[in-house]
Amino acid sequence: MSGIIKSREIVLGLTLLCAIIMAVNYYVSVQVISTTASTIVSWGVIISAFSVILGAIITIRFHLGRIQKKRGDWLWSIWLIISIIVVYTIGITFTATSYIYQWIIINVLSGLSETVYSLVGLFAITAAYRSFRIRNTDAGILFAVATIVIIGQNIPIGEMISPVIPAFAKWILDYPNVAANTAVVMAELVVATAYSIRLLIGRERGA
Amino acid sequence: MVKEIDRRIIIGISMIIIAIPYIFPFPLPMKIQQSTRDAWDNMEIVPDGSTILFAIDVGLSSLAEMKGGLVVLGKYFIERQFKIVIVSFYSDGPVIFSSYFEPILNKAGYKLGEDWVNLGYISGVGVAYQSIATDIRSVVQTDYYGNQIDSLPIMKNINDASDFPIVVTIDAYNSVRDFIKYWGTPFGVPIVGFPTGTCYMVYYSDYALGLCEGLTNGVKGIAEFEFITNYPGTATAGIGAITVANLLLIFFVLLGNIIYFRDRSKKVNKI
Repeated sequence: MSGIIKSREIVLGLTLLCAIIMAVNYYVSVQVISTTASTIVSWGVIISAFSVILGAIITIRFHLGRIQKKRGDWLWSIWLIISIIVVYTIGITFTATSYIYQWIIINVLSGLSETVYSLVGLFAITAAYRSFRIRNTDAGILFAVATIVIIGQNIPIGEMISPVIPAFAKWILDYPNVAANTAVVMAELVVATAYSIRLLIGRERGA
Repeated sequence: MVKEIDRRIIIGISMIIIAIPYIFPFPLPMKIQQSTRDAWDNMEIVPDGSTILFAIDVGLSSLAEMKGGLVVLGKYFIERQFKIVIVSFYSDGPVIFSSYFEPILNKAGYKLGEDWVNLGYISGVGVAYQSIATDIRSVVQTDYYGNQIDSLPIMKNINDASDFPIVVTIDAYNSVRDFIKYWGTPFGVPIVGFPTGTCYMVYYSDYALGLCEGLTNGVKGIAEFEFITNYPGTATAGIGAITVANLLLIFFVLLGNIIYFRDRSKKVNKI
């Protein structure tokens, strides 16, 4: 019995069935198919909610293993597990809308997150200083375009220097950028379609 | 002669220079970009008192950049007497709402259930966008505070994407694109995005192709929106620091290259 349940064909069959229903629902308006598609989507949301819990369990297991073997910065693993347990316990006991939970999020997590985010900006400056070398024409064009877009679009001083800079920056965004970006997105979608088809017919072994 | 500069010195100098505009603010010209103007225009054509969907899809880490957007949008929505259905597809969204957006609504006398409702965080990324576009009640039965959504007057005639005249999303990951994919293209709902500066560059092609109706460019775009709506806030105050930080980046890249090529020419001369 368990052999049948675990068999790859059942998983593939269910995936294919869901995919066909969702695809048909996009193009055809039939009440039964729409209701089934809507139910499948709701299941998807529920399954993804479970994946959040699964993620927490996997994280705890991974860090418990590190602590047991005293591997790497295992002391930070202890700190991480304590943080997870404290926040989970408070969140579940007092709910996420409680004052104490909100206090932790705003006064601890928010401050830390914003600090890290801000430090990334400073590291970006040092990284650009140390690694961006204009060794060839391509790098030169990249730097010139980036500078024009930064000055013309991202900060308000382009207009002060010359009205040509914002206009040129907008042209870069409107034409070369849109053309290249659209091509990349279309290529991504073609690859995603090909990958989905391979997945549905069982040719994609990595999934 | 300048030698290779230590990373700590660069960070120290940058921190001091970026702090200067906050201590001694200086005026900067404010020319409104077309994408910001379009964002405002598309919100302006929505009738006063309409029920709109507002997605808070930023993380706590992005608040430094996006806090101003939350505040100015809150004030603008209140001015227009919009009824607001709030939703988050990013786990930090509900907490950010409670801490930064809800106080603005409460101050204006907005009532939970009548003038606003927070549907909370919905996991599932693309599937979640799609599910609330087709049937909100199939996924959400209670709001963030545990109230049955059927008991809330604001939700009386609201159940899918076609019930909203516009979607406004404040975004730090992929919200604008997901709304385009699951709301804009299939249902024709206008999408207005307030993304971070990084995301703006990614979404710009979508805006240029007419897939979303309006887009602001990070802090600069929010400052422009504050200017249009006449609610100056943290973005207007921070635009000086953003300007200086961007100029520093260009300066240090140039400096790094000057030092690199000088050292390289010295080596060549020695050989």
